[in-house]
Amino acid sequence: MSKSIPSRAQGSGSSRRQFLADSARTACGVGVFGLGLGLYANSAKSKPATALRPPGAGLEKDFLGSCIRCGLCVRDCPWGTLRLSELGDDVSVGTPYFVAREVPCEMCDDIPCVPACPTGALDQALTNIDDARMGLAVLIDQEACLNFLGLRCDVCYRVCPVIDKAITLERLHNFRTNKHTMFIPTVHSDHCTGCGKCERSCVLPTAAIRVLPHKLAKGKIGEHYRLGWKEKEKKGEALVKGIVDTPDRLPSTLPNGVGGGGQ
Amino acid sequence: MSISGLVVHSTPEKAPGVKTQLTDIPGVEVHAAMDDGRMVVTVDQLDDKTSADILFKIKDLEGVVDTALVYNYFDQGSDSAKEELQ
Amino acid sequence: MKLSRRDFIKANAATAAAAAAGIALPGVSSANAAEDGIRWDKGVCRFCGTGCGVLLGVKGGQMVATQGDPDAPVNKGLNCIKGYFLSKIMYGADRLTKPLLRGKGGKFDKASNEWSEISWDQAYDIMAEKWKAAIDPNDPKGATKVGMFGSGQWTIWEGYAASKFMKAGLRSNNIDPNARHCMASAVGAFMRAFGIDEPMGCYDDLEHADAFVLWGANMAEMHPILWSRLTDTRLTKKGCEVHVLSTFEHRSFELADNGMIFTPQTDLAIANYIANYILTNNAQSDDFLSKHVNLTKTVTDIGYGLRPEHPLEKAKTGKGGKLTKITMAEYKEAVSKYTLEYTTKLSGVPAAQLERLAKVYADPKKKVMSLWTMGMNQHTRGVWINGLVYNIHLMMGKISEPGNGPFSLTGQPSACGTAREVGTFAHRLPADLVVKNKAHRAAAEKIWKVPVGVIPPKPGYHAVLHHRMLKDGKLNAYWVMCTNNMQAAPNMNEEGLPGYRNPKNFIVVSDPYFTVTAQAADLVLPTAMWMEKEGAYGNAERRTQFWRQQVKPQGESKSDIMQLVEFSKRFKLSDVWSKENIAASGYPADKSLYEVLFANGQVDKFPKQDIVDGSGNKYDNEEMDKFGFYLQKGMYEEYRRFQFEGPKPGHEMADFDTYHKVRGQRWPVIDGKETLWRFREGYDPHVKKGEGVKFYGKPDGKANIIFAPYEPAAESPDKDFPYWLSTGRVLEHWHTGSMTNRVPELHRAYPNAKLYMHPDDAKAQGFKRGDAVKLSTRRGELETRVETRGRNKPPKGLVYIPFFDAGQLVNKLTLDATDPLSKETDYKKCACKVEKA
Repeated sequence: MSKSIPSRAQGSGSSRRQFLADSARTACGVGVFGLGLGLYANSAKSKPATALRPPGAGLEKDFLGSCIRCGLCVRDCPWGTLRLSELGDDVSVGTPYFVAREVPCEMCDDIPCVPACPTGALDQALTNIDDARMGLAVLIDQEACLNFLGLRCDVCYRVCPVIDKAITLERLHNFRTNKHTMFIPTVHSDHCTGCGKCERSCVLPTAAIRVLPHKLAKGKIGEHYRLGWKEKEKKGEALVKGIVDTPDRLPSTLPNGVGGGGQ
Repeated sequence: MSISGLVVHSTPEKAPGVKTQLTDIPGVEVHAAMDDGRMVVTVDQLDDKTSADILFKIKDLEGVVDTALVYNYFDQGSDSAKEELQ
Repeated sequence: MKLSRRDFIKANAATAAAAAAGIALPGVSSANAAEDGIRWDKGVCRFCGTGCGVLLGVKGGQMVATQGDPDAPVNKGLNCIKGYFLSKIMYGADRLTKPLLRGKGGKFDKASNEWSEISWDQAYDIMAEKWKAAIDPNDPKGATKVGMFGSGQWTIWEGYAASKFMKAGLRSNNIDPNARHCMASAVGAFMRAFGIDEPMGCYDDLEHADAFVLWGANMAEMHPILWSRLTDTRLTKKGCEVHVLSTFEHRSFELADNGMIFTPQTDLAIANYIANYILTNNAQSDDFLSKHVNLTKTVTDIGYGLRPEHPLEKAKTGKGGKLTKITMAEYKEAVSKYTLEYTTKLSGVPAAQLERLAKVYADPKKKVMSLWTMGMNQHTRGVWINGLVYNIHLMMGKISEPGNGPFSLTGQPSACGTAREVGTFAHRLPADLVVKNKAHRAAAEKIWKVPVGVIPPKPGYHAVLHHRMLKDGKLNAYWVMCTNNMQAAPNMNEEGLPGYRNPKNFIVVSDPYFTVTAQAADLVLPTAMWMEKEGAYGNAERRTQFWRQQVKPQGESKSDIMQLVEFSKRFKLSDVWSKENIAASGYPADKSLYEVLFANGQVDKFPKQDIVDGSGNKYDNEEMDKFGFYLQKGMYEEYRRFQFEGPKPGHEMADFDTYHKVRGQRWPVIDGKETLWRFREGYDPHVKKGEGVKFYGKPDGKANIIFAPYEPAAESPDKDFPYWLSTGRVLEHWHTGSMTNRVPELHRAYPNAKLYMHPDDAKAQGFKRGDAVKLSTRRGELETRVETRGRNKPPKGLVYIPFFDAGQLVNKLTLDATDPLSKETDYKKCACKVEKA
C-alpha cells in the first residue's frame, strides 16, 4: 500500500528533517525562486494550515497564546488521537493536534482532554462534545467521491457520530441510469464537530472528504444579502406587511387545480 | 532509495549546456526541457545525503537560476529496485 | 510490460514536478501506461444476492481492476462499496496455497495445535480413509455418518455436483447449505403457499410499485443498489410511500414515510392485523380469492427447533406444518383477535401508523411491493410470517403483476441459483424435487444414471442438526465448503466447536482463507475462488449469470468442483453402494464413483475446447485441463434435464452457451424469452390463454392463504438477561468478513464490531460511549464497545451487534432455536445482558 506515497511517514526521523531543511535553505538561498515558496512548501509541509486542535480550542492565535505546551490533554486522551507537535512538524512546537486521517477524535462523552487543560486554552465550558468545533468536514473532491458517481459508498455518512445531522445524504435522480438515486453526502456546519471520522474512513487512496479548520473550510455569505425564505421563516410572517395580491382573470369553467393565482 | 522530482530553471540560452551537465551526473535524468529554460529532472540516489549533495550541485551548475524540489520519496532500508509492482 | 517500483516512483516524481511547473511530459507516461492492455470480460459481483453485473479487468494474469457493467440491467454500472473493491478480494495477504493437516510432520493429530503442509494426494488419502471408515455401504439408511455443509456462494455446478456426489454417490442426504441460515424460511413458505420456490416478481417491481413495505430488511445497507432504485421511485413517483418495519431504527428509516419499531416477534400480529383490517373493511378481492386461493390454517404451538430435551420442546403441543382447509368465516374469526388496539399494545407501534400501513395494502389502486430479508427469515416462526405476508397480497390479488408482489431478497450471490434451484438442502433434489417423494427420487436417479433406490428417502441432517450430530458423535466425516460456519452457526460454544473438536470426527474445510472455520478444522484445503474458476450464480430475481475463468488459482488451490470430482475418484462402488444397488446398476463393483457420476458418457460428452469471448480472447479452464472434458457444461446441461424432464415444470433455463453470451436471464426461459412475472397470463408461458392467473406449482392451480397466530419468541428478556439481542450486518462488510475484512480500506472504514445501544440504557448502566463492555447470554460472552450514536438506533431494551468481526464471535451468544418448519435459526432474538468489562 505504501508504494508510491511521497510522505513523511517513510522518513527516518531527524536525518530526513535535516535534509528537507537543508533543501529549503538551498532553495531560499537562490533567492529568485521562480515557482514560489508555496510550491516547495506544498511538498515538504502540509500540516500547518490543516492541523486540527483538540475540542474546546478557540481561534488559533488565542489558543497558541494560552497553550503552555504541558501535554496534559495528550496524556488524558484515551484513544491516542492527540499528539504534541515536534520540531519539523510545522505545527507550533509542543502544541497538541491530531491528524484525522490517522487517528480521528472519538468524541468521548466526558471529553477528558478538556478538564486536563490547566490554562483554559481548551474551553472548560465545553461539556457536550456535540458542541465541539475542531474543524469542519468538507467534501473536497466531488470528482473522486464515489457517491457523486452514483455508487453506494456513503461510508463517511454512516461512520458519522452525528449522522443525519452533521452529514446527510441528499437524494438526486441519476439521469444516466434513469432508475437509481445518487446519495450525495452533505455536511452541515451547524452540527459537524470536526472529529475526522469521515476523513479517516474514506475508502479512497486519498480522502475525498477532509476535515479542515473552520478558517479554511467556511465560506461566508455577504452581509448585504439575506435569504428571503429564511428571513420569512424566522419572522413567521412576511417582512413587509400590507402588500396585496390581485386576482388573475380566468374563465369560470376551469377544472379543479388549474389556473394561476395568488399565493 | 531516495528519489526526488524537481524543476530546474536555467536561462534559455544556457539550457542545452545545463542539460548536458545534468545528464552527466549519475542518477540524474532530464524528463523534459522547455524552450524557456525550465526542465523536469529526477534525482535517483541510494540515500538522502547523496541526494542533498546533488541538489546543491545542481543549484551551483553554470546557467542554473533556480531549483524547486517538488517531490521526494525516501524509503530507508529497502533498496528494492528490482521489486515488481503489484 | 514490467515496471519496477523504482521506475514507478521516478515516474511519479517527474510527473509531480512537471505538473507543478505546468509542463507536459511526453516521455514519462509510464505510471499511467500501466492501465493499457487490460482485458475486460463480463462477470457478476461476489457478494450479495442483488447480482450486480461487473466487468473484470485482467492484466498479466492478475485481476487489476473491475467496473460496474454500464449495461447490466440490475445496476447500470453502479456498485456498492464492497463491489468497488472486488478486484482486491482474491489477493488477501494470507491466501492459503497448500493443503494443511492438523499435526506435526504430516501426521494427523486431532489434539495438536500445529499444522503441516501436505500434498493434495495425501489430503485425498486421509479424507478417503476417514470417509470410508464412516460409511457402511450396506446400511439401508445410507451413509448417515458423513456430511457436507455447502453454500449459496457455490457456483451452480458446484452445488449441483456436491448434491449429486452426496445423494447419488455416497448415498447421504446430510448435505445442507448455509442458505439454511438465510433463506430456508422463504423457501418453506413459497413451497407451502405456491408449490414452487422463489419470488414471482422481479426487480422491475421496484420501478412499478406505488408503495414499498420493508418487513425486516435494512435495504439501505444490505442491498445498496436495489435501495437506490427504490429510492429513485420514491423520489420521482408522485404519491409513492415507503413503510419500514423493524425492531430497531436503521438506515432505511431515513427514507421512510412510515417508520415503525415493533417489539420482536410481534410482526406475526401486525400481519394478521392487516388481514383483519382488509376483511373488516370488506376490501378484499373476492373474485381473486374465489378463483385462485384456498383458505387454510396451520398447526400451532410447534416448538422452537431446540434439542428434544429442552423444556420448550417438551412443552409444545403441536408438531409440523400440516394445513387444514378453513372457510372464509373461520378465517375472519381467526384474524378477528388482531384488532388495532390489541396489535398496538402487543407490538408497541402507534395505532395511527399501523392503520396507515394497513390502508396501503387495502387500497385496491395502490401497487404494493413487500420486501424482506433476514428479519422475517431468521425467525422461529419464519415460514409463518412469510406466509402471513403472502396472505395479504393474495386476499387483495396484489401479486404476480408489475409493481405488486411479495419479494424475498437474498443475502448470498447464489442462494437462489445454487442452494435452492439445484437442491443442496438435506431434503431437496434439483428443480424443486424432494427426497421424500418416490417419483421425484426416481426422476433424479434416471437423469443421474443410477439405479432406483440409491437416493435415501429420508431427509438428511439440516445445518443446525449437523453441529448437534457432530457433538453427539453421530456425524463423523464432515466437509465444509465455501462458507465460514464456525463464525455464523448459532451457539458455537455449546454445539459447533465441541462438534468439530469431538475426537471421533474428522473435519475438512475448503476455503481460500484461514477463516475461523478453517482454524477449527482438521484438514484445510486451499480453494480457488470467484474468478479463478468458470462459474454461474442465480440472483434473487431468478436471473442466472455466467462468467469465464479470468485468472489462475493461486498456489495449489483448486476449485470446489475440482476437489469434489477428484475426491470421487477415491471411491469404488463397493465402498459406497449396497450389493443390491450395485446389482441393480449393472456396473462392476470396482467401478469408481468418478466414472459413475462424472465420466459417465453424459457429463463428459462435451470435449475439451478453446474458450473464447466475442473479441477472440482465450480463457483458461483448470477443470477442463484436468479432466479432459468441459465439466461445467456437462454438469449444467445434465442439471437442465431436471428442468425439462423432471416432474415439476416452471424452472426452465436456457442452454449453457447462451448464458456466456447474455447478461443473465430470468427463468423460466422458454423460446429464448425470460419471464418477469410468474403465474400471470401474458407474462408467464406456463399460464395458458384465458387462465388469467394460475399458481401452477399447486395441483389445483390455487395458492394457499395460511392462517398462523402470534406465538412468543423462544427466549425473551427477563431480569437476569434484560435486553433483546439482535445481530446482523453493516454495509462495509459482507457476512463473516472473510473477504471484506481483507480489503484494508473496508477494514479501515469499519474495523471492529460494536454494540449499538440506546443512550438511556447506556447511561442507566453507567456506560460511556466507547466503553469496553461484556456482552453475554446464557451461552457465552464477548467483549465489545458501546456505541450510542451512529447508524443504528435501537429502542430501549434492545441491543444490536454485527457479526462480521472474527475478533468478536457473536455466534457464541446466539441461541440455536430454529423455525421448526424451515429449520432456520433465529439470529434476531435472544436475551442478553451488558456489563462493564
